[in-house]
Amino acid sequence: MNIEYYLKRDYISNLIREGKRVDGRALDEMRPLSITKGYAKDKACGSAYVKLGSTEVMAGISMDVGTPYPDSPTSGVMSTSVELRPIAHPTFEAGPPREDSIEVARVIDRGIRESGCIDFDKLYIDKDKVWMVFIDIHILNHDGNLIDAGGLAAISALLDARMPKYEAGRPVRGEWAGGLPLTCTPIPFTYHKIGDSIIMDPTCEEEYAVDARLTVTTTETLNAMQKGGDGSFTAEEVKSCVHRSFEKASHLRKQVEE
Amino acid sequence: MSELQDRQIVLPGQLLGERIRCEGPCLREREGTFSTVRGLARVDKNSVLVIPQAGPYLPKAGDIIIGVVDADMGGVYSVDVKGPYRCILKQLRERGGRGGRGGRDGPRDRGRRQDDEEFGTYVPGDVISAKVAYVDEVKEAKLMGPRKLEGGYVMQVKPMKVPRIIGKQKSMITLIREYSGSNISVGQNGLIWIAGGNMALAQESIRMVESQAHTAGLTDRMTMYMRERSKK
Amino acid sequence: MIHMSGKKSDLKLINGGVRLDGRKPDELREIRMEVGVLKNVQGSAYVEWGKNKVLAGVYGPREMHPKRLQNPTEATVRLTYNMAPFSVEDRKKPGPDRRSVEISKISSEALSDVVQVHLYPDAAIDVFVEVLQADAGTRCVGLTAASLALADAGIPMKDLVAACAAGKVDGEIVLDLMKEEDNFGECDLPLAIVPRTGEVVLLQQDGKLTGEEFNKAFDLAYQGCLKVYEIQKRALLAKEVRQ
Repeated sequence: MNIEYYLKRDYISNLIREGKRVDGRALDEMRPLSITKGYAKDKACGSAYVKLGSTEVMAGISMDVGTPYPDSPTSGVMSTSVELRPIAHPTFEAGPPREDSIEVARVIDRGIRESGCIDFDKLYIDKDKVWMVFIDIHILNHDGNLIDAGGLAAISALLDARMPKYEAGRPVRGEWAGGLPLTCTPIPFTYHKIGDSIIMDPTCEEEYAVDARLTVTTTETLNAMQKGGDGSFTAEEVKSCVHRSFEKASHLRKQVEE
Repeated sequence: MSELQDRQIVLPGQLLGERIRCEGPCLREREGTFSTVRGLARVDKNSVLVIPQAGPYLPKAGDIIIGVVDADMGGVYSVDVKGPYRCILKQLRERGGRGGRGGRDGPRDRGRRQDDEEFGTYVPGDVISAKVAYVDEVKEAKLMGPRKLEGGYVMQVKPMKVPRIIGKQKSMITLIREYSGSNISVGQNGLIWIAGGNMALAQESIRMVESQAHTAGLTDRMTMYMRERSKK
Repeated sequence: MIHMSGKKSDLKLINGGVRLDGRKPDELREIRMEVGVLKNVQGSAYVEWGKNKVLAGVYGPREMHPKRLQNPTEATVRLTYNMAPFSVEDRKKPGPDRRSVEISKISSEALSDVVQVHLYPDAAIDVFVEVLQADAGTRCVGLTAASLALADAGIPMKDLVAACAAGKVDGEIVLDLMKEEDNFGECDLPLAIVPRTGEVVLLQQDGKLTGEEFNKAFDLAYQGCLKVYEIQKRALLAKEVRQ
């Protein structure tokens, strides 16, 4: 039983109702963000280490040659996984992915996939041979907002990634042939509802007071959305979140693309 | 004898001295006594005391703790104090009272049950302050004198830093209370309850003391810092 | 170690006493250690060792679950070693594999020897080792980092544990194998010791060694452990000073 939930929920809700946050931020203010690309450049095709406040996430891109899906025989394949490592929080246990990490992985995946970020046609090699792109997100310290931190780490790692050289039917490890075929930089933003207020980038304890969340991933267009949690948003709130995202994303995109 | 300097940082496995009295986390072996943790060594002619810079909270009788009720086992409550062992809160017979005629502790007799009214009822999530009455053989602490702490915010610091946060003769905590105007209860276990006043200042100040606990001149720096911050 | 059974690569690993990465046979790779790097765990350490990048974090002593595994006389030290999928060139599927389970077990046993477990009956001391980038010797790096994380958490130990491997490459005994040497060499010998007492708490060997070669490899690995120990101590002192 998570005692923190009982402990923090009311205090945080009351504070938010007054328009205040524990660390003094504005309701829509994000914590300091740092992105280090190429963190595991000696082995991984691409990597990025992201710190969003105290949330620390590492994403790695691995590539291998595999068979395409039968309904898209000339397209590459992408798969996203998220691991909530026990080192990240005392309540994370080792074991098969729980529904939380699966949802986070799928939301991040759709944000990238639906934007057309990766040009899958350029990942075609030969009959029955395509490149498979694996996005693996390792949560190393959980202090809230794992979807945004994970999503930013994933896209940063993709931007950092290099295509492996391909020779005699196999990837040549340690040798590269240019970057991944990317067309855009999707940026996720998750809005969290606490009572009647909406905040961004909650810390772990603020998340205990969250009733519902809405993740909006944008490029020039809206590409993916996901509502989570058992609370609700009004239609106006949803529209406002979507419209705010375009501008916020273009600011953040500059930092991610650096 | 000890070759150490006073206030030297010692590490696990470091020799403290050969035939010398050592206190704190240490291990006596044939070749000498060794520190088992990273800590500050206080050395004088006859003894060495190791003050660990980190470590779990182990309750001892007399400690005031802040805890969170995490289970109700039918009037007996399990209290989470963020340590490796549970604390139990139930209406206690006061154990080991001196009692009797002319007892120094006055009219407290053995076996008086705490009043139902005075004891109260609790639900999971309640924050309480209480005193550790005693710790039994399986390291379970029994609590007494509970007080519910309503509202407010609970923060957690490393238990080893609590003495510095309180300060000599409560000097540091009094300083923080004055400048923030907050109601602050510090548990030996590292949980601290804050309510009212400038809670953000109280929290920040406590975090600063925690991270700079071992440095000199901290009280003066904290005074200056809080004076500046409370002007805004 | 990956054995190319029968076939030896025609890659020469040592040329006139100089290894592929420029090191001498008895030289350690470059090592950097830092403690107190993660917030939610009670103690942590980060070690870069050659191209290895390894994080270790400790929770504990804390209540042990499942309860039926609690030991009423002492705490249980549980180290879980895990490699990130992107830590190696050929992606590793998430989840424990047999190798990780074995490494976790022998590493837990190594630490159980030094941790003062009798002080915390029934409790668990959980250590998590996350390999973010791997380049041979990760079990030694992980155990070295784990020991630092325990010290950072203030968990009493009779000493730190220092680990280092030696091996045989092109017929020569060398210290601290890197990836190519591990893949194409003739022997790998990871060792972990309690430096103060000299006790051996982790030892494995695979490959072919004569008795004399073993002595040489063991002594070399032992000296390597002592050098690692000095770096560990500096990392623990640095944090105190820097703050």
